[in-house]
Amino acid sequence: MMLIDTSKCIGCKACQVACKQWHSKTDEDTQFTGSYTNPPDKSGANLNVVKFFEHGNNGDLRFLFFPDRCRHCENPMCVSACPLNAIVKLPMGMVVVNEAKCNPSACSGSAIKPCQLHCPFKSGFPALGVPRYQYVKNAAVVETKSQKCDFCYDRIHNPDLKGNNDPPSAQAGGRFGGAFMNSRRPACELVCPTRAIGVSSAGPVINYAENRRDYLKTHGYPNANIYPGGDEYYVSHMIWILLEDPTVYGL
Amino acid sequence: MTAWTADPGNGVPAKDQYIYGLMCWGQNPAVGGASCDFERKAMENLDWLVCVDLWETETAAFWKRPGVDPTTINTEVYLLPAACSYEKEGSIVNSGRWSQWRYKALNPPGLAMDDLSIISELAQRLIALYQADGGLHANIRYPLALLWWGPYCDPAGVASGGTPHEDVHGQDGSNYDDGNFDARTGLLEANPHKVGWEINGYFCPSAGGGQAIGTRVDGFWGGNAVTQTLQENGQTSSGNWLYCSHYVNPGDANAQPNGNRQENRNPVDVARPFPPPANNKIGLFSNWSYCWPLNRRIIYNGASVYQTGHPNVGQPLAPQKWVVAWDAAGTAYRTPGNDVTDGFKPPGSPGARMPFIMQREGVAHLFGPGREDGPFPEHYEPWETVLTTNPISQTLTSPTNFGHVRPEAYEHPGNGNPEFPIVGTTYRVSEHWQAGQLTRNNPWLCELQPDAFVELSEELASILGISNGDMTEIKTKRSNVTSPSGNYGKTMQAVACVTKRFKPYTIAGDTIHHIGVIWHFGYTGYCTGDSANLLTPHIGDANTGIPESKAFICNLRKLGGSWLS
Repeated sequence: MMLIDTSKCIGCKACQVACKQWHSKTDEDTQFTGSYTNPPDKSGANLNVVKFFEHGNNGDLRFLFFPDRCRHCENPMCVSACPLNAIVKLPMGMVVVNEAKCNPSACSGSAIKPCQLHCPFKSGFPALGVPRYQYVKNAAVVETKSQKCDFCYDRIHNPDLKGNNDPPSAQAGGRFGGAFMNSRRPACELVCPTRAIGVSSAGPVINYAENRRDYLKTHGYPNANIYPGGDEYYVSHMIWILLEDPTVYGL
Repeated sequence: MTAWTADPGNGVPAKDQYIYGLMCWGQNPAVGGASCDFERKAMENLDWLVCVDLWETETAAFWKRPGVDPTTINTEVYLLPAACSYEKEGSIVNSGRWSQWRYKALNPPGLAMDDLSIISELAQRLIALYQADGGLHANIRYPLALLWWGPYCDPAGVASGGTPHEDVHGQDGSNYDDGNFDARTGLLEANPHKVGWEINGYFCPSAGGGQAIGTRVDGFWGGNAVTQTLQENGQTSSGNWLYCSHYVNPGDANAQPNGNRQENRNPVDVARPFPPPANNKIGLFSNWSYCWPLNRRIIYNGASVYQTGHPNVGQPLAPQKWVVAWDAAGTAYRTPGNDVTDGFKPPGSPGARMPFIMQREGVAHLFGPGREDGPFPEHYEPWETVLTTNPISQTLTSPTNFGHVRPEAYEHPGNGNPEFPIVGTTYRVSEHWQAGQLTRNNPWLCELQPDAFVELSEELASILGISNGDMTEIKTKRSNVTSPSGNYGKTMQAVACVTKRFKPYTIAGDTIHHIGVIWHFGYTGYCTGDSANLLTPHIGDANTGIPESKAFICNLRKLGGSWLS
């Protein structure tokens, strides 16, 4: 399970760029539209987009950040919706697109594909679910396979990276112990300078999240909550601590 | 060639005040310099310009910038491709006086070279030319023609009578690093380790006593050949006394095996108990890198104890975070602190000095000779301001000289000028760095922040009819200047970012609006935009000369709309 504690997020976008680097994504066309969020939403070239929200006013103004990516649902709708069975849930819990089977030009006659339609976590205009199969580059639309965060499953299961059998100095640290860049951990977790992102088994992650949420609620953030799911946060393998109600983040 | 500026009429012949050429090493004044349209226009008067950089910057491309006809500009421009920081080895010093060594990860691409190699080749060719035909000016010819590398950068050992010196490299096979003669140029290669030895200092070929030739010094104080410090009799040479002991002899206990203390990487914050036992971890990290001078981390640390005449002379004023200490007799160190003691004569001992040893009086200065401004803080308005009277001081703007930078009167709009009713400032974003050479050529960073933008309050946006994402135009007095040397100036265009993070001020009863502009952009690179320094004044702090260009007066309008009145 991954936790993104947005109380520690500084909106630096290192996670956004590290994800692109690991997945060899090109840059897409962007322009400044009045927000630090760029590109405005996830796409075939951006699997993890940090979104910026100004909330409140005058003395109570806060700049809120939300690294937006797949929630890796415990019961993923995209898996059951895909007519080509191209999306699978791996034993560790992450949800991954099998690009050999995925075929957006053939899976549906609609521009909105089944995985996008049935994913409950919609964003953008028009509202689309998490998976994306297009981006714009040099003013032309480029089509890809369905793209979304894959939890860096190819790092986590990668024998060429440092794992538990390697010398202690080379091993991945614990959730908050720090880890080297060649560890079997997601790219976003490794580059986050404030360690707002952490991966561990569900028990410790949820325990940490609950304690952190409770602490924040009594230290200036009475609306702090765990997302998604509110009190039902076993619904996904990717959870966030939000500082305000999810509606403030457009969720 | 024509004048850099008009003849100032001070009696010195104008031709002796010209600047004929300019070398920019990793600098981009066409974007980073205040009043940058002046910078760009002034460069047109250069005979030649050399830019050492990784990219063709706005400075290197000033002659073909938007709005300019290249056929009217006679400057000859040379672009020397440079290596990036991980493509070269060497030291880097920070504002905490720490000099840290950095290693080379890979060779630079193509014919790009590290700065040391470029300047070494340049110097050797220039020296040869000056030795051959003398050049134009005797005051340049003689010092330059007499430069020579010491024994370390002279592998044939000619200067030391033929004694060969060890080659510390063999790191990656690069032709630039191994201190030999370069096959391509026939010139001596540069070696950052050997340059470090020269700067550290060593005993010279003409020594005649004391240490063996080439023995490196481990300090500048004492003048004793046995102690291997700098001598007063011509026996030693050093490039910079501040760095004596930064690169000592191999085997020195305080350094890496090769003697390079800049390579020290001990992350332990050493603590020593001071009775009563209290570990004083105060973050010295004395064995991480080298701190000039002498690895002394806290200068004037002798001020942290009671001084001569006090009953507790030599004892720390704050035992819980002590740095140095002396025993009651004051004649010998009892338990030296973690740091290298300052002053060398403990308080209370004969010859002891007051702890601020670099000041004539031995005490710190709040204000004194050499200071233009001080001693107490005063709120002055900036050089140009929307106000005509200062609400909290008798004086509107600082009466002192604004440092060494050029505060041209003809760039001043007049305080309270109604043409510029808005207060402007400039700042940065995470995604870009400085004038953008490295970041605006990176597609991923350009994706994150593709455009120059201006941030303004919702209130000001409403008055001016500006919506988020609209293109705007900003002007200051620098946007339209008539000067004795010619006219210059442009407005800046920037995309609007309407934000809750800006609010109008109420100052002396008036509503004053404030805007902020991102300054990283220019006309070259993967992503481009206007430079905020088109707007800024060329002003420096009175004491330090540090640019005070972040407060100016301006006006803003939606492109095609009306200015604020």
